[in-house]
Amino acid sequence: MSRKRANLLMILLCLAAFWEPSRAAERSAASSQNAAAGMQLFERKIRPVLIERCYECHSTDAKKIKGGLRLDTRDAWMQGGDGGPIIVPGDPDKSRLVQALRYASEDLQMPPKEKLSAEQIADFEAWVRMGAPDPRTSEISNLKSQISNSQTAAKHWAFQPVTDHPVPRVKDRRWPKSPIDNFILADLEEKKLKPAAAADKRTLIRRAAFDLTGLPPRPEEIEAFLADPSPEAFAKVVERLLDSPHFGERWGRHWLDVARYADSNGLEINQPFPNAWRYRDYVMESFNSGKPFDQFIREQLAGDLLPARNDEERFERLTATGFLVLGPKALFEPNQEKLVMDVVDEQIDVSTKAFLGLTASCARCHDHKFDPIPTRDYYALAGIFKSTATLASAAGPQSRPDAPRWLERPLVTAEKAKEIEASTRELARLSEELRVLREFPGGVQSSKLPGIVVDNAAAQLTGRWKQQKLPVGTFVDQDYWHDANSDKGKMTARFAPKLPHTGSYEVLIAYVPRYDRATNVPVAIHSLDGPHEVTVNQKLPPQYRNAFVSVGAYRFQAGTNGAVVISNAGTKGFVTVDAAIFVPIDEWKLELAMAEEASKKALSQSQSEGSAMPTPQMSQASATAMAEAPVDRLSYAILDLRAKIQTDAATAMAVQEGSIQNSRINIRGDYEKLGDEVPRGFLKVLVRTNSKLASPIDPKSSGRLELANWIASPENPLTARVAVNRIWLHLFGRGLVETPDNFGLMGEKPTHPELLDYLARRFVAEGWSMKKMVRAIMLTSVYQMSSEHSPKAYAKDPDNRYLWRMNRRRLEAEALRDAILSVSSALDLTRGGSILPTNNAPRNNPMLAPEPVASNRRSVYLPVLRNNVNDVFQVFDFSDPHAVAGKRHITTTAPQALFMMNSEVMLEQSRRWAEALLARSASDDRQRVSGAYVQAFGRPAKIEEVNRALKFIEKFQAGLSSSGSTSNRLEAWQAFCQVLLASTEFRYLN
Amino acid sequence: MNPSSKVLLSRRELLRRCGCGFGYLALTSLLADAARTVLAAEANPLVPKPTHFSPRAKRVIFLFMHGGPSQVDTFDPKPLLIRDNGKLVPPDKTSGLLTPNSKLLAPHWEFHKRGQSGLEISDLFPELAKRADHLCLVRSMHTEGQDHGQAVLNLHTGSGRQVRPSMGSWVVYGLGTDNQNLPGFVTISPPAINGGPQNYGSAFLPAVYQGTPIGSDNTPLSQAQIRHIKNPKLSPEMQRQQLDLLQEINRDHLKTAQLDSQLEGVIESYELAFRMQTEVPKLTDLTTESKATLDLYGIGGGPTENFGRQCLLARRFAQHGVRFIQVNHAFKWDQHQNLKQDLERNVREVDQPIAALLHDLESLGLLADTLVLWGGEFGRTPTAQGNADGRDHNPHGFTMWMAGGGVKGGFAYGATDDYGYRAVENKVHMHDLHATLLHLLGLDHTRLTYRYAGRDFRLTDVHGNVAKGILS
Repeated sequence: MSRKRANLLMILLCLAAFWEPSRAAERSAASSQNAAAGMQLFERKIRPVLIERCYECHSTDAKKIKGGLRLDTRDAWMQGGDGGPIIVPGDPDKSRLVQALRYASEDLQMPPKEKLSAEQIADFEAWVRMGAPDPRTSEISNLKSQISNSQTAAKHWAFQPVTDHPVPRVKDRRWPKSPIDNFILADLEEKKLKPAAAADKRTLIRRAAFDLTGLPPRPEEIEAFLADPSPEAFAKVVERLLDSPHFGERWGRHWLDVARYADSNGLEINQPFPNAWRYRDYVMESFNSGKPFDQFIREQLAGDLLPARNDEERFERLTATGFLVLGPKALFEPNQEKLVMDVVDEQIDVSTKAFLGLTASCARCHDHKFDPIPTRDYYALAGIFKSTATLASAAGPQSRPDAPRWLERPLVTAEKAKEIEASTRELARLSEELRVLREFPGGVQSSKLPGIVVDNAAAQLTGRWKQQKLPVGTFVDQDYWHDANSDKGKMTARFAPKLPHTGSYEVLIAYVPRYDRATNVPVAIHSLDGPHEVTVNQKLPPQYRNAFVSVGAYRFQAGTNGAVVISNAGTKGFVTVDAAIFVPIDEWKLELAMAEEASKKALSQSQSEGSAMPTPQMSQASATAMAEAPVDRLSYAILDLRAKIQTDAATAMAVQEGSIQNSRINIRGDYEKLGDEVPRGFLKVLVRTNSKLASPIDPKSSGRLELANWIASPENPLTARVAVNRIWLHLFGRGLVETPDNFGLMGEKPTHPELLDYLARRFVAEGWSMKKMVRAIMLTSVYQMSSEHSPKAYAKDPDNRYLWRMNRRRLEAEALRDAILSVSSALDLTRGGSILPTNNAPRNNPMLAPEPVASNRRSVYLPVLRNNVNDVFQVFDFSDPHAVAGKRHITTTAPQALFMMNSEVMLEQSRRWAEALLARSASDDRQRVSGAYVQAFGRPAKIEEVNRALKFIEKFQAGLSSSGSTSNRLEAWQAFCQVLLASTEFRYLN
Repeated sequence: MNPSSKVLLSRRELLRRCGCGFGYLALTSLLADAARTVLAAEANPLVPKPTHFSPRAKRVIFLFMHGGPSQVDTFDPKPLLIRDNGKLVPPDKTSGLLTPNSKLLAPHWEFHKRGQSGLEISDLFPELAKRADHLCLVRSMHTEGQDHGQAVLNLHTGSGRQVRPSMGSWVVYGLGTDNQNLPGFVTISPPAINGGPQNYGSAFLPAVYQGTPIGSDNTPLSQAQIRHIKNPKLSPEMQRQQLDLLQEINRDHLKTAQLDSQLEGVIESYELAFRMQTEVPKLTDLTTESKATLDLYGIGGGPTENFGRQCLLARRFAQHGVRFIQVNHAFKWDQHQNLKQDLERNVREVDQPIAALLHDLESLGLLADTLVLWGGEFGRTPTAQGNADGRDHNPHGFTMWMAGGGVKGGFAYGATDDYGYRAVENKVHMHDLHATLLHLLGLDHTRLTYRYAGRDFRLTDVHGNVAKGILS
């Protein structure tokens, strides 16, 4: 579309907003007397031009109907383009069609290539003035209304209430273990297909273990199952696996695909989400705890609005709303309104796809092309999310790029809040202390010293002293000097005080001790008593204020005659000079007395309190720092305190109620082109089919809670169906509806509609329990079938739509990686928490994708970084975490093979596994091979497989050129182990 | 796929006849080729696919100048800008970033007519200027996104605000690729910023269509390699031994399954990977090129070293049937300041290699069906930024150029306004560029769709017009 035409479209759409049908109709009626003349005009002047100049883009036959506008029937132009009518009958000046023909505005010129002649334009003006008579009423009905005819579309199966279907009768009464089997078998029998035999026990337990926990069964678990002859043996296995905490890790991850979960924002500003993991853990815990799915929905959409019995529950529910915050956002978008509408759109998209299997966000710019979702409905939902705060509004577009722009809400108890307050106060105090200290890096301020101070800055120097000002050690004011242990005998520093009165003064000099200092630094005191020289050992720590040592009391005259001169003559080691003080002797005596008192007090205190040893909550780093410079000590203390506050003041990505408002229609999705205001509400098509779903929205609330209740209602025809379909998908590799995120008209129809309804009913009746549903499906004959091939059945149903066998399924990226790590015993089964470094933005540049984190934790705990997904995930069809993905692609590619052959993960884990096998001292090589088969495939190796493996290992070992038979043996075993991990039998579930 | 290689047996029929499946079938000489073709079409989404109409180009080499090269200093001569250098923008010409307070900044380089066509190009690109008769300048580009992030994503995916497949992914999805031993879409030294991998990602298209990165824009290409392409320990012979055991075990599994195209696909993928391991390093090893060729591209030290390697590698990929090759010049084209100095530095790095690439493709007979595309995410303002010798971002008008398959050489299309700020004549939006690129490859951008979440998506979304005026 040309820009120009796009602009015209906008204007046409704008016009729709001002269209007043009743008045127009009046005018139209008033001008109907001229009908006959009008018809003539139309046929002679208007129709030919329309055909010749307009139909190319504006008729049913157009290759593409531009702007949704057709000019080939009266109804069509009366309805107008995507936004509304373009002709005001009787009023050419108000008719945008005429304005377009006139080329009145630069943005509104039609036909775009060449203006009509003045005469032709005049004809159109006359025609419109006459009321735009048009005989083409019986011509082809409007394509658009046909498509979005809500009457027809509303009859779509998925919008109909879930109904009870009688459990079908089947001929083979022995096969069904559950009504579910009856539904399957009835179809199979009708299609003259026979279900496959039951899977053997080894296949079954491997299938169940991966399906429920994403981990291979352990050899002892297989043995126990094989040894259990009871008919309930499999039910027991299922029960054990459902109770395992790994169930939530596995099924939670399925939901995270739907929730487009990620630990970073993605798009151009790929900031890490430091608290996204809380939502992830919440999801896993919800699956583990058996939370009813309707509750799960309510919490994710409106957890912040649900009552909570205690803090814990309140935090859980706040965290759940992270669902709405996790989407990718164009964080650099300078236009706040545009950003908000994009966030709203993303929320509508994820909410409708995840829970309803509807693609409502298609209706942002125009009525949904296929489903009965008009743009009005979209903006009814938009109002709900617009009334919800998702972005941290305080952060404008120009604020620091590393400041989170999304809302995070505190998860803090009243008790913790007090602690945080205290910590915050303490932090302020320490920070101030540090600030002072920074100003005086040596930790001693001359202004706080007694007597007359001469800092090195005021000293008179000879030679090349070097400045030192790093905050290491104790010194006065900004810095001190050292002689660099050179130019011995050529450097002096003269500290000459201006003394107020004549009398006795205690003279002290400051230096910075260290192991490499000189031990015999000459210090000359020039006083009324004449010159006097002492030497100072600068290796020893000075006693007074950790900075000064006394060089004795001397009498001085008032004025500037006295001085202390420090030299490096005859010294070995570094000489430092920092300051000298001259303290009137009385004052000095007082000072000494006070110091003694203070030290006594400190001593008794430290005895009563234990010691000055670091308290337990202090970090190792700060413990070490205790002995270091005060500035370090303070810095560490501040870091500790900050960390503590951060831990105490936990936050979760969460929403809250914002300013309550309805949204206006954004014409053609353009936030600047506003149409009608639409009251907040839900999708009409679902309300229409069931009046119980028409609950009103409290005008004082966003309507999110009402929305959540509406979605999670047993009356909602989609929610339960979509949910059980997702469960079925993960147990069979394909849903009863093949498009799990789209139950609309463009989605696939269910292969077993009655079964889908049966499951949906049962799901709701059993309290929306996900575990119960999983169990019900697994304890059926259909789940427990083998995947064996049958040429006969294959000929009739090659895609296995009717489930005549179990589908052979590939392990997904996570299950594959976890299985590899599990077999090699590297897998770290720690649960929950975050391993995302708090500052994961490389080089502090939020435009770079954060770095993947290496870890042996289960895959679900590896941070999911948008635009930088871990290798193994990227290669094995992990879904792009920017968007909802109820179903992953399954591709078979060379990069996957390269990964299996050459990646570090494979090499490292196969080596690890080989080491473990070789370390089994009780086994011989044959047992090692067989044991490896059990670990990898859940079955022992056949004799010929063992022979083949050993032959391979022997030959491979011989072929290796490197020295040392032990390492060759390990390498050969490693090569063998890698083969098992790379094999199809390992990578697929039979 | 060559449509003439007709397979008379349907896949299913074939399978029915040979109960053991394709893995074995492929080994029997009689039906091997037919079976491979069928299997390939079924299991390998990368096999060549028919075009919508006769293509003008078979492959694309996209030279991405990251940062936004200035059009008025390079390919878009503006006499008025030269005349009014240093003046404030006249009140009647203010627009967008051309505020009344901004000063016009003339190019530092003179424009001259080049070649037989007389195409005007500035002195900044001396080598490229010699190839002017090959160039089809599109001087009326415009796009969306005032910032790099959105504009870069717009350029690569057609959308700066939503996650969409990259153009290379679309192309390989639409056309497949000729050499199954190599990836269909490679991106050489891609940047990590401004969307990073999203710029060669497949979004909702299957992952098989995503670009394969070679190195990154902060490592010299001489040290870069495709991920996992080499086993760090085993010799090819030893690895073949290992692979033989693996394939035996896989075939055993397939035998118990009797028939499973997935398992067959995996078996096939290992063979393909093994072949890739041999092919790719051979291809990326530039030492087999003659001294003359290396000299042509400026490889052997100096500022052209890295980009020269990139361009030569691109040529080798083009020769070996890779469908979409992107060559990335690091994020160096963002001249907010030091315009003269930094543009000269950039051009020292890329001018000779690009000219060499055009020449080399031509002499190998490849230029006729290779579309070379050059440009950045946007252009720059004709005004100075502050008092600096620099220009700000400008998505409203800039130049990209094409050469080779299907475009007019020595030709300039479209125009910007008097100062080169806004595209005004024969405007080509980024969507239009995408539509044109697909058109040249024989694909109708409105028909190249992928159904995702209930909607048929396109590279051009609901936009895009083929710039017919540039077609030769």
